[in-house]
Amino acid sequence: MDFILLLAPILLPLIGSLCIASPKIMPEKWVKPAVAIMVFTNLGLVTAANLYAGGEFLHLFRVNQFIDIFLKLDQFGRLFSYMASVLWVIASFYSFEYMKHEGRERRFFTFYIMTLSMIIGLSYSGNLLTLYFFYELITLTTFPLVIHLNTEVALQIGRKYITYSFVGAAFVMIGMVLLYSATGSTKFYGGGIDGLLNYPNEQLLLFSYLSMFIGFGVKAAVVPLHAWLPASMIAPTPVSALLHAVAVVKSGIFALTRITYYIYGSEVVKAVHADQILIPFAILSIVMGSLIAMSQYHLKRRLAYSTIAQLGYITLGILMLNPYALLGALLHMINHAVIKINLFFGVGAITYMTEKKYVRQIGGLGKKMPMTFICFSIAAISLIGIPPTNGFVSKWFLGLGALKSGNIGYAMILLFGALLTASYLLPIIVMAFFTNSKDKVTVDDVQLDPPKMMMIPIFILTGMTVLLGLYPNPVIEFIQVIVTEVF
Amino acid sequence: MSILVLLLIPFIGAFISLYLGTVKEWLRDVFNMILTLFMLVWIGALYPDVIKGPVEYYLPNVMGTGLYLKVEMLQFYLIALTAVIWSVVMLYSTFYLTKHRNRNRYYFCYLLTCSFTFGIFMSENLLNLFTFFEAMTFSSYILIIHDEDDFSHQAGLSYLAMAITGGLVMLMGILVAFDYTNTLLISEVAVKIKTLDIGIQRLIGGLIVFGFGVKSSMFPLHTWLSKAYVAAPTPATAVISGVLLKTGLYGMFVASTVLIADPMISYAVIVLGSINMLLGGFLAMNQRNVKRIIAYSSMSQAGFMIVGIGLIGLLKDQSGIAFIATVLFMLNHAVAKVLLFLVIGVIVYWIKELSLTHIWGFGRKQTFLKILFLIGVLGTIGFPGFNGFTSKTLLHEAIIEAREGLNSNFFMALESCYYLASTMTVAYMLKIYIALFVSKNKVFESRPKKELSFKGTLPVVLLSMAVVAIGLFPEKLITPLLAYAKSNGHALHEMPHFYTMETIGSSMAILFAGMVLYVVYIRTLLVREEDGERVYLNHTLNWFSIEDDLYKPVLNFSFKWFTKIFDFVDSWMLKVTITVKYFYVYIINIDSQLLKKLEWDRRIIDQSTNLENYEIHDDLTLQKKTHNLKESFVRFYFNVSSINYTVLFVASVLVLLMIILFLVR
Repeated sequence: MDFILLLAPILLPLIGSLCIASPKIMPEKWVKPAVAIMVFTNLGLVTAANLYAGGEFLHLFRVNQFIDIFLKLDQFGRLFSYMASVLWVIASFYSFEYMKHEGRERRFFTFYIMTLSMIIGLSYSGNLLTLYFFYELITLTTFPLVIHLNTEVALQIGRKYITYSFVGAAFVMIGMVLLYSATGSTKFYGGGIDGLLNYPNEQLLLFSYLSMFIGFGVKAAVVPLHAWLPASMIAPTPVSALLHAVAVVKSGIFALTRITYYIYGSEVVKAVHADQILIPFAILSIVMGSLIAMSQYHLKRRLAYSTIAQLGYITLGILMLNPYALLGALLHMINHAVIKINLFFGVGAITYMTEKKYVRQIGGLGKKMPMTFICFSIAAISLIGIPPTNGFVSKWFLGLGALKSGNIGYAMILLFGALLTASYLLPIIVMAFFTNSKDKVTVDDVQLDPPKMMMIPIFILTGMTVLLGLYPNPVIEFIQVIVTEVF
Repeated sequence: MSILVLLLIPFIGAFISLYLGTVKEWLRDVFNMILTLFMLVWIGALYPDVIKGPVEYYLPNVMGTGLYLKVEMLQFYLIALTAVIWSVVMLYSTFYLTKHRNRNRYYFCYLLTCSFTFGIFMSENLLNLFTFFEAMTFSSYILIIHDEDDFSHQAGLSYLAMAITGGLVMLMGILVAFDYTNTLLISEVAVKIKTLDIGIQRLIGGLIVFGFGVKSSMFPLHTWLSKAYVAAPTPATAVISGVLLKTGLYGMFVASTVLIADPMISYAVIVLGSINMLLGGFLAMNQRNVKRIIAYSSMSQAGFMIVGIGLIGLLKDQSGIAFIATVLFMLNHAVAKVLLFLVIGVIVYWIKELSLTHIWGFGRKQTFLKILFLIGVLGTIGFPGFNGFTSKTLLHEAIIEAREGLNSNFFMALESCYYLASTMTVAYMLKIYIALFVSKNKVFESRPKKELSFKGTLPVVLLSMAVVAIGLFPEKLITPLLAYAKSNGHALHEMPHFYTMETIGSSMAILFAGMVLYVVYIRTLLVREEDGERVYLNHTLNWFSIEDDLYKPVLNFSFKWFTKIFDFVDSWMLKVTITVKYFYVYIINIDSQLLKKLEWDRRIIDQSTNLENYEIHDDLTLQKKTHNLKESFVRFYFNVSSINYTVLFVASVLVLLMIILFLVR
């Protein structure tokens, strides 16, 4: 029974996407309804699995001790699968409208749904090898989405994306093999694999951890492994929003959390001083991502660098190795997903309605697209970390974690990052609302807010931003279970 | 519950007003008036409860910590002040904002700001306080940039940058406080924090005071003030100066006396406050822009209040007089300063010009306006019989008390600062009063007298009545506060008498000295008369400006260099690859001499040695079968130049990185 519960949300989208791919099975007009049904069914299945499935190991495929693909449900998997499937529903409706603009919808939706399957698989993975397997598949299924434009530049960027990912994967492989040689197991246990703390060869552990961190750090866009992320902003906006702000980068974060807390355990990581080596890179991500974002005038690229900075927050939270910081990091994983999708959707709406892509072009646009920009502003304020929005809640816990880790400098970096966030997001809002457009030709009372199909997802996300800020307790309690499990 | 409703009245009202504004403007104005009146009545009804004891309200689960509101007598005074100023200025706004654009937005943000200001004064939870404070920053920002021209955007940017920086510094303080005390309630934090290490206490206090210091325009965080006050529409300036300034002061009061009672912090606050008094006063004397004079005057007066807050912290158990002086100063300053701004607003409304050089002599015939303005001036300079007199006298008493009880030299200096700043107050107020209402300018002599509108006059008259009433009967205001002060550890021996020979004498001496200063400094140095034309000069324009000469260059410099460094890091992989590629090309260049013998297709060599062209195209003819070493070397070069070279170099660089990491360890 558990087997079916866990497998269903992985297999259904996979089979569904294959159906969508074929024009014979699925006529053109059925594609979107089918996608809608699929994402909703998937949400239902994920909910069912998360509620009713037990925590046993469910082997799918087993060659020997190492090559052993199996699923296991735990609280962290629940969190990640919920996040993905809810946001997938929201993004689907946005894409229905937006992709009219980009064309090649069938191809888009095929891989879009297929990626969902891989993400759910990733979150239900029971050991590192399974996770690695799905992690690689995510790279492959998102590749066609990145090169969606089919231009020369898009192909080059796709190549860059795939190169980075596979080089990263190679590092993961090295680390995994080394780890296996040390432990004989790659299963996830809350708090780390037993006996690793007393393992004599510390260098080996450190090397394997660092190697895996570099590998997964590519997807988590840890500086200096981030260059693929701003480049892949060439993809259509829903892809940038969902994949490059949520699914792909967060799968990197997910994997980092898994290896840090479910394989090695915080004590081992602390004992081998891996955190001290890696935290500078997280801080570099925060500061550098924000500063480069300030000098970007292409809206989507600015958001991409902002993503790098925010992922830096999460990585820092993971590496600070204390309960508050982990709570903050996981909260920020959720909150940043909600906020960043909203921001990207806002930018997408601008591009969709007006073909404008640069900060300087949007002067006075706030008066023509009031709803879009009000939602954008709320999301931006939330990303800065101004209460009462969800961004503040996660930064609060990250800040507490930073202080608990005994280094006030980390907390200062967090707040400095918030200041930088303000300095690259607020000008957009000010530009849109409080300046007047240079081109006099446009009539003032033209309403340019996008169609409902795009607007409603934005509203829902904005509502979530405020609601999660005003009443964060349910999510915090949900995550608290994970935190108590691993510490 | 009743105080939550108070918070919600303007908040929900703002949205209703926004809606009504799109239907009919007069409907919105009427609604707004009724709303503010209702607010006043509601606050009045709160008074009997507050006398009995603190009114509290707790709403659990909001933002994780719950919304905790608490109103005691001090907070009650401040919210009452807020409500009074807000309703008076609301009436005035309907007069003033008839030609401005975006009126709906103005009223919306105006009411929201009111709600958030209530929130700041009522919050018992530090996190709630911070939330309202930030929200207030944003809503007041929109008021400041209301005109949407370049100047107001500059001002707004300056304001927003300072306010957000301040907010984050404050958040840091709150985080540290929570980290050490595990609570956010102000009263609990205050108890627990006393047991901590003194260094931590100072850190927390310093950070929070810094955060609030931005709003209270404390030196050196005052740079936004002179621009924002001028840029905002006059009614907005009035509430910013009258009430929002007080939110900063209230926060400083909470941080430096309720939370932390550390003499170091108090001394620092006093020193900065004194700088505020003097610098603000001096800059005010030099300005030509009427609004800016009053803006700097606000800064100077804020200095007095900051000194008062410092004194409360220093005098500890015996701080009753300082406490009452500070609270009274807040009320008096608000009333008098709003009065002045509103009168200036009337003039701006008529002749859209702020520079004294152009508008001097304007009001000579406007007798009524002249009287109202004079009342405001007398209230501000502390003339006996007007409200400023009471608070200045009390503050002076507090300084004397501190001088007698503590380090006498320091407080001697403080007392002279107090005298000097008061003298400057007189001087710049005289400057503006004489220039506007006494001097005779032939440009305005010929113009007919303007008629005042009822909506514009009533608020000003009400405020001037308040100025006189407080001046004559200060006891009525002080008595309820006394009980609160005593029960909250601000004890005092006895209330000094206001009208004694000594106090009136000192006030007269200050007035006289101010006149002398006016004649000696302002009339001789800052005013130039050329055949009936009078030109006002401002020598401070080219002086060192903290914002333009310190903050901005430092920021620009660091931004520029950090961006340069990070741009390199951002594309380091590409750069490293290119560097390695140059190395390969170099080797090939050497070998190309040898290659000549091999009858090699010259085209390939040219392509490969072209330094600029590092985008290698795949359609080159590389299919030639060769068995020579050199040839295979070149083939290898082309192979790495294709997709693989990225993989190879990425991997090799990462391995390098690993090795470095190991060496570092």
